Amino acid sequence: MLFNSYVFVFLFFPIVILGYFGLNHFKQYKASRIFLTGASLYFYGYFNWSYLLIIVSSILLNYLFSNILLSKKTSSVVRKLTLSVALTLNIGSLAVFKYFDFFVDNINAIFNTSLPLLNLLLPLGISFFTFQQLSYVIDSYKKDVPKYSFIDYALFVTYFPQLIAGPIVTHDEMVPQFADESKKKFNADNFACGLFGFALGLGKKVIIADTFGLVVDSAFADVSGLGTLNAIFVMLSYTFQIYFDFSGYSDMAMGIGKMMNIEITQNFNSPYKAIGIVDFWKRWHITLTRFFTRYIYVPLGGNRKGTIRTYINIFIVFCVSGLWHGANWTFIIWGILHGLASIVTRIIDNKTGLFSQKNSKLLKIVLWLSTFAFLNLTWVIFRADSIAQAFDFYKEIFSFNLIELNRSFLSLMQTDGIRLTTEFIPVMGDYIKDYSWLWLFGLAFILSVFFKNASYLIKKYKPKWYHPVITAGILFWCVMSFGGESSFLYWNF
Amino acid sequence: MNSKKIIIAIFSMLLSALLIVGTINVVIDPLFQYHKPWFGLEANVIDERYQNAGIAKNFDFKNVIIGNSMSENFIVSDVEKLFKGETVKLTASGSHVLDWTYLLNILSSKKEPPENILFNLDAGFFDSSDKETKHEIPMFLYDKNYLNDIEYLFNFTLTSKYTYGMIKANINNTIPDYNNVFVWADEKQLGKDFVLKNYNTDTEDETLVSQQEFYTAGNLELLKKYFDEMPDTQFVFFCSPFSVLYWKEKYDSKQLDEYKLEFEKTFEFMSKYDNVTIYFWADEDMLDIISDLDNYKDSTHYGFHISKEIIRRISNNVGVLPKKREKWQPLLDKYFDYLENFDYDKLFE
Repeated sequence: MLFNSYVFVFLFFPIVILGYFGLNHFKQYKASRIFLTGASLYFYGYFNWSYLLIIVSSILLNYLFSNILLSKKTSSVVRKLTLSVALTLNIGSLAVFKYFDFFVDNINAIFNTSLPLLNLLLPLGISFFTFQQLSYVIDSYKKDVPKYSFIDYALFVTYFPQLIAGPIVTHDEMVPQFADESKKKFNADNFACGLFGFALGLGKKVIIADTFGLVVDSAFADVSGLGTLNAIFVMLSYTFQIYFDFSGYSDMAMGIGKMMNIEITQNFNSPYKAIGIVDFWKRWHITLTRFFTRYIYVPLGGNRKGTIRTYINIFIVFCVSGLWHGANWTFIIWGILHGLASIVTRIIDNKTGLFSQKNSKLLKIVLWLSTFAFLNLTWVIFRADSIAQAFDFYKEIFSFNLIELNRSFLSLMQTDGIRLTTEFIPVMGDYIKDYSWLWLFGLAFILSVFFKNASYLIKKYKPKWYHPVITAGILFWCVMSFGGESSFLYWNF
Repeated sequence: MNSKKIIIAIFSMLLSALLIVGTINVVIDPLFQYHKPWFGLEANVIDERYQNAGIAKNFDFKNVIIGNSMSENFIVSDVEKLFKGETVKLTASGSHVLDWTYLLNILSSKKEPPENILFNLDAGFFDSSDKETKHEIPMFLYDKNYLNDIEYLFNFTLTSKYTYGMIKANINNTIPDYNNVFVWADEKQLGKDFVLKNYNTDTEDETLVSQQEFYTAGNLELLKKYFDEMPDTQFVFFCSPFSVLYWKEKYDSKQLDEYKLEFEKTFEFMSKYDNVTIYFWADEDMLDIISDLDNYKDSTHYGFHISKEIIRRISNNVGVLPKKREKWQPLLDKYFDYLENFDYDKLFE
C-alpha cells in the first residue's frame, strides 16, 4: 500500500489510528501491539500477498537466531555458528532476490554462457527489513541488546511507516517506545504535529517529486537528441525528484509515527545545502550511513588503522552502498564515484582545511555549487537504465547543442490540478499555467536550499494559526492528485 | 491556537473542500455513474473506457454496439434504423472479449436489458487473451463498489477533463455529435499505397517463427454466461472483413488451417443459441472487398464505406450463418480456399 493512495488515506490509516488508540484506551496494550503488527503486515501484503511469506519467515528465523545468541546456555561455538547461519541467510536472501540475476547476467556476458535467470519479483523493502534485522542479530551476538518479546520484535520490523523505504530504525530506538505506557494515549499536540509533517511529506512526494518524475521518465525513455539545455533540465528534474520523493516518504513516516506518539529517526537534513560530499552523506539517508558506519566501516577498522586504511574502508562502504541501492552497474559506479569524491574531499580537507574551516561567503558558494554539480552529474548515472545510457546522457549535456526546451517537458509539468485551478484565476491564470515548470523549479530549489527542512519543522513544531490552512490545503491537493487517468495508446488498436 | 482546534480546523477545511468537489462531480456526473445529465446539459461523450460504463448503467436504450475498432465506425443512427430503436455505442479500441464482459455485466443487471447487441467477430476473438485486457480498465467505474468511487469524485484529472470539460462544452456549444461518436475513419488515410507504406515486413518475418496461441474456448466461455442469462437479448455478431494482407501473415506462417479451426469452434458453439446470430460473408463481392487494399488503412482496418456496407448487409439479412454445420461449413471452406489460393505477391505489384 502506498501512503499516496486513497485506500491508505481514507481507509487504512483512519482504521489503524482508531484501533490503536481504542485498544490503548482500554489498556489493552498487548492487543494494540498485535493489532499494529497485523495492520502492518496487511499494509505490506497489500502490494503482493506472497511477500508476506518472505517477511514472516524472515522475522521468525531472525527472532530465533537472536534468542539463541542471547541465551546464557548457548556455547560460544554455537553462538558463532548461529551468527554465521543468520548472516548467510539474511545476506543470502538479499543475494537471491536482488542480486542473483545481475550476477548471472554478468557471468553470461563475460563467459558467453546462457545460464538461466530466476526472474524473481523483488519483495519490496527487503533491503530495509533485512538490514534492520541484521543489526539486531549482530547486536544480539555482542550481547548488546535486551531480549524482546516476539510481538515487540515483530512490530519493530514491520511497523508500517518505515517498513517499505526506511528510515532504517534500530531496535533500541523503537521497541522501548512501543513499550512506553506514557505514549499510549492520544495526544493532540503530537497528532497535529504529525498530521502537519505527513502533509508536508505527502506534498513533497505528490506535488513536487511526481511532477518532476513525469519529465524524467519521458526523457529517459529516449535520451538521444535532448541537447544541452534539455539534458540539464532533465538532470535537475531528477535531482529534485529523488530528494523530494525519498525525503517526502521519510517525512510521512515521521509524521505518521508522531501521530501515534512514536518518534521515528530523521533520515534527511537538507542534503542539497551540503558543502562537500562528506557533508552531503551526513545529511542524505542518514540512517543508511549510520548502519554502514556501525556494521561495516567500524568492523573494518574505521579510522583506527591509519589514513590509507581509512580511505580503503570508506571506499568499501561506498561500493557496498552502491550495490545496496540496486543490482546494476549504474549503482555500483555511482557508489564508486561518491566513494572517490568522499576520499578526495577528505584529502583536500586534511591538507587545506577547505571544507571544515570557516570560509568566505563567496568560497562557500563555489564549494556548494561544485558539490551540487557533482551530485547532479552522479544522479544521472544513478537514474540511467545502463552505463551506456548514462554516457549518452552525458554526451547530450556536453554536446553544447542549445536547442530550445522541449515543449512536451514543459507541458508535462502543467499538472491537471494546475490546469483546472488556473482556469479560475483571472488575467494571471494563463501566465501561471504556462510557467508552471518555472514555479516548480523555483519552489523545489528554494525549499531544498534555503528553507528549514520538514524533519526540522516536525521536530520543532509549534502550533501556528496558518498550519491548518497549509495542512488542509496540501492534503486536499494531494488527494485530488492521487487518481489521474490511465492513458491508452489509441493509435495501436 | 491549541492543537485540538488545529486538528478540528484541518479536518473541517479538508472535508468541506472534498465535499464541495465531490458534490459538483456527482451533480454534473460527466461519467454518468449516477444519472443521465441534469439541468438540460448535453452529454459530452469523449472517452470510451471512462464513459461506457456510465452510459450502460444510466442511459435509456434498446440496442448496443459493443466491440473494438472494427465497430467504431458505425453511425449510431444507422444502427438505430437497423434495430429500430435507440442505440448506444459502447465500443473501445483494442478491447477484448474480457473488456466486453465488464459491460455485459452491467447490461445484464439492468431492469430492461437491451434487445440487440452488435459485436464484431474476427481473429482477435481467437487470439486475444481471455484473462487480461490489452489496455487498463478503470474498474472503479465498472464495479458496484461505491467506496472506490472516490477515485472518480476526488480526482483533478477527471474533474478537469470531464466535469469542467462538460460544463465548458455545453456553454460553448461544442458538444460532439453523438451520432458519430468514436468514429475514427479518415478517407485520407486509406488506400493500397498507404497500407503498404505502413506495412511492416519485419512483423511478417516474426510471424514465420512465432506460433499464435489461441484463447477461443476461454472467450466463448466468458460469453456463454450472458447468452444464458439474457435470453431476450439478440447477440448479433458480424465477421469483420480483414484484408488478405492480414491473412497473408497467417498463410506465410502456415496458420490458416488453425484460424479456420477456431472459426469452426466458434460457429459450432454459437449456433447452439437461439439468441445468437452470426453474419459471415464469403460471397464474391466480399472476397473482392478483402482483396482490394484500397478499402483499408492497414491490414485489418477497413474504411468508413465498408462499415456502411456491413450495416447494409445486416439490414438486408445478407449472410446470416445457417445453424447447421453442413450448411455453414461450405461457406467457411470457400472463404479459406480463397485465402489459401490467393496470389499474395500480387499485392505488392
